[in-house]
Amino acid sequence: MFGCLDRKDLKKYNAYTMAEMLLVMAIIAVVMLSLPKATKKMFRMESVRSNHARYECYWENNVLKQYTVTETLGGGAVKDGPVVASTRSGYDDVCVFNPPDNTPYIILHAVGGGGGGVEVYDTLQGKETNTALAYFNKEETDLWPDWFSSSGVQNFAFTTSNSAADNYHKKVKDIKYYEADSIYNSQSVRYRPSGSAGTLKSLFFPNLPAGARLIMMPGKGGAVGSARSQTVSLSGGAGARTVVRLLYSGADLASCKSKTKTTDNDCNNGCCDLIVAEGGKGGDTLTHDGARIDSKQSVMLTGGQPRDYDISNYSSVMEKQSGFSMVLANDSDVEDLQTHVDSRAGNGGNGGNQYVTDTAGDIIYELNDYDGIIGGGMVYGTKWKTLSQEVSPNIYANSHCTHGSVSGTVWAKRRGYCIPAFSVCFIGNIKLTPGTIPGMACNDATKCASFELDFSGSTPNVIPKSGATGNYRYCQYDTTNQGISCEEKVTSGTTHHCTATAVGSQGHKCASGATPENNKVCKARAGGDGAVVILW
Amino acid sequence: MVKISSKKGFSLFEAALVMLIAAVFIVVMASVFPHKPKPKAQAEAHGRFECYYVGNSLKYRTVVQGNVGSEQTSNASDALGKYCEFVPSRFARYLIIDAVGGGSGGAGSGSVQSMGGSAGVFSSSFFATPMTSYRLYPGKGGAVDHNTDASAGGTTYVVGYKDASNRETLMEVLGGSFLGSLATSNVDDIDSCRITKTTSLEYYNCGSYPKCELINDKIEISYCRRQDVYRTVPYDFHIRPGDSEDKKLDTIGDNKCTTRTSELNKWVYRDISVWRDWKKSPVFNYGNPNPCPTDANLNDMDKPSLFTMELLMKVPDTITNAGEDSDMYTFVKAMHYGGNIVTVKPGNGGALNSAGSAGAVVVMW
Repeated sequence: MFGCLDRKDLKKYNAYTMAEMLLVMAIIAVVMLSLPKATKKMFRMESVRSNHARYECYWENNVLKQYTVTETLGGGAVKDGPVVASTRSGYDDVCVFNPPDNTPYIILHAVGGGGGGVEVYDTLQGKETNTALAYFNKEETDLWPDWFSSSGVQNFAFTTSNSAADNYHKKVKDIKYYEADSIYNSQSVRYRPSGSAGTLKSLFFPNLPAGARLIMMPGKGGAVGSARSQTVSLSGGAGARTVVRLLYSGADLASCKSKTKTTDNDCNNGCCDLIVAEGGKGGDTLTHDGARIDSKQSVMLTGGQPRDYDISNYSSVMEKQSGFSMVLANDSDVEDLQTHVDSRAGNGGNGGNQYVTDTAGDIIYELNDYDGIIGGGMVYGTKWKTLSQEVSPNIYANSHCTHGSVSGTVWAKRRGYCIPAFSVCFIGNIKLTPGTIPGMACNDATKCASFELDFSGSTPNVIPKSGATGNYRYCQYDTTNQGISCEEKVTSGTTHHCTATAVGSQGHKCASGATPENNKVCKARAGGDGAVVILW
Repeated sequence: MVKISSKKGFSLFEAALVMLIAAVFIVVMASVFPHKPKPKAQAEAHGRFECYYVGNSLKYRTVVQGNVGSEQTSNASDALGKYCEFVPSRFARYLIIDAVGGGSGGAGSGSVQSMGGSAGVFSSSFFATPMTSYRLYPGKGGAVDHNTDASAGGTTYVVGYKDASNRETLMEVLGGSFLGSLATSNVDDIDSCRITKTTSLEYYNCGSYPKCELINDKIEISYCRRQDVYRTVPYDFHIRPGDSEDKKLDTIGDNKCTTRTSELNKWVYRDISVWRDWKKSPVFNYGNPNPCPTDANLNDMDKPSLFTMELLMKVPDTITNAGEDSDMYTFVKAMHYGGNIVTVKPGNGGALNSAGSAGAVVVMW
């Protein structure tokens, strides 16, 4: 009977069993499970963003080069280049950049060539020994070296040996007076000016016009201005401007790159200036009105570099930064990602410079604490502290000097710290005044026990008594202030030494650390070449 | 009865084997399909918003994907002046804002000098996170220069708004200065300085010549004070509205002894201020109407002048009697933007006897 099968009759037919059907369904299930994995991958949209990349156009040993480095999605980079575009100089050299499609944005940095520094082949004068007392005279605080003024000393009542007598007379308590004596060797330093940096320009834009290319002409850095002696005007070479142009489809490259500046008509024809970054100026030591303008001079304290002391501004000799290095990606650990552009791109070259490093000197700063001094007796009653114990920040923090201790004998000039008490130096009703009683000395045991005054001459003669002889010298009597001044042997103050190792027979050294040629000249540098970097 | 068996068909085992193999194929293909060529990337939806002056009327225009919108007039203004309101598309992933200050005016009949004005400063900035809205305030162009401060170009501002009460000034771009005028100049406008005369006495110079440099926005004079003291004095270059032209160079003192010369862009300054470190309170009076020293006073120890210095103002190759082109004008022209943003030459310095062009702002994404 059709449609009516007995269970046992099923075995008679080649039909699937339930188990077989389940097996088929299981396989189908496996297939179905795998399909979404395939289909989803098939139709998933990939990112449409172009990879980030960097293009560089730069000079390397007078050869213009271009270089492109592109990131990969999996990390790392793909580099393209370097490509030598030309070995010729000037505007014949160009880089050509074809922007990729679909860039989300473009960043363009351009810097002009830096100006060259100046050097003069001239000898240095020898080291000198000076005192810095003039700097610390309170009446001429503007003469203090900047580094000293910034040390915080000016916040205190600051006196020098010249005015200590006044302070003594005031007998002011609870106010600390500082006294500073400085003995050091100095060196007049000659250095010539550097060139100025090229102009840095940056431009952001979303995309370039369709079919347009960028052509770039980085300017060369200015040459060094050099002379055997400075008898004529001398200047470093100016850096050349860096030009970036848009070259539209159909415009002629050769014609476009040959133009010094594009006009409106040029631009209408597809050749347009986009960025013009001017070059820097060369260092300049001009002569005017027949007078010789020598290089700048500076007096430096011993041992450190002139810029540490800043009596004169040392920055004029230093290389001038264009700021272009800030846009260079040079910190990558990936070799291919590192920039090929010189870090000096657009910098103004440093000027020639020299200074001496083999002199050694002592700078002595002491604190004279007048607290509690009553009625004088300062020769023995004065308490001495080092200035560095009182002043913060440490005034030596930016120098090459190191703290030292007393070494040998150091004489510090002081005036007026011993005032003969004329008010009590009477003989009868006769007041002791200079020249009044020849041969008579004021010998007040409590105030000037260490000295005698000999009025036998026209000028009172100060005589250290026994026991003080070895500790004072050059004693004088100040008739105006009626005080005694001497140089005192300093034994309790800390002496700070600034020393440096001699370089060469005369110890001349360049700011770069190199030994100058025959101790005469440290080389100036040419300006850094211009460059262009494009990021997207 | 229907006989459903057939000797010619696959066995179940065979069918299952085929399906199993097919399943393996599909699984393997799952890793093959993704390596098919990717769909071509679509271009970014770029656009720009331009804000500029046409005469005294503030205009704006939007261009999206090459579709140029009509030029509109904005009459909105607040304390900073007239502005264009810009609301970025919510699809904008970033904004680039280029701004230029107003160009300075060219020399007029009242000016000693004869040259065009300088361009406004140009600034290009990238903002990764667009704000809710922006107000763009292009600076006006400077008037014709008659030795007055009015010749300077106006400052261009860009202010961003996170909401109605949360605003931030994003850009402040200075206008151009007429390079022949100290009234609108700063140290950056000085090309070089040089000492042309100096006292020859030992009181100051120790046999060496003073040195003049332009460093850190200051004019620095270095000289020998006496044999053991060399000094560098930084001169600030201050501009004080209302000062007359011969008082624009402010030194460490209050001496303003700078005069124009008939030569293009050359100024002469005679110094007396450094006498402050020589005499405690120098009060020199060289007589009316000129309170400042002359070259004859160089060696006059009673009324001295340390030196005579020339300041040579920058005259870049890009500035002519027609005025200096701004970087903004160079940019919009090179990009072939067309329209009035190019026609008005935003930020350009004025030609002789002409006012400078107003500034402009272009927002791009």
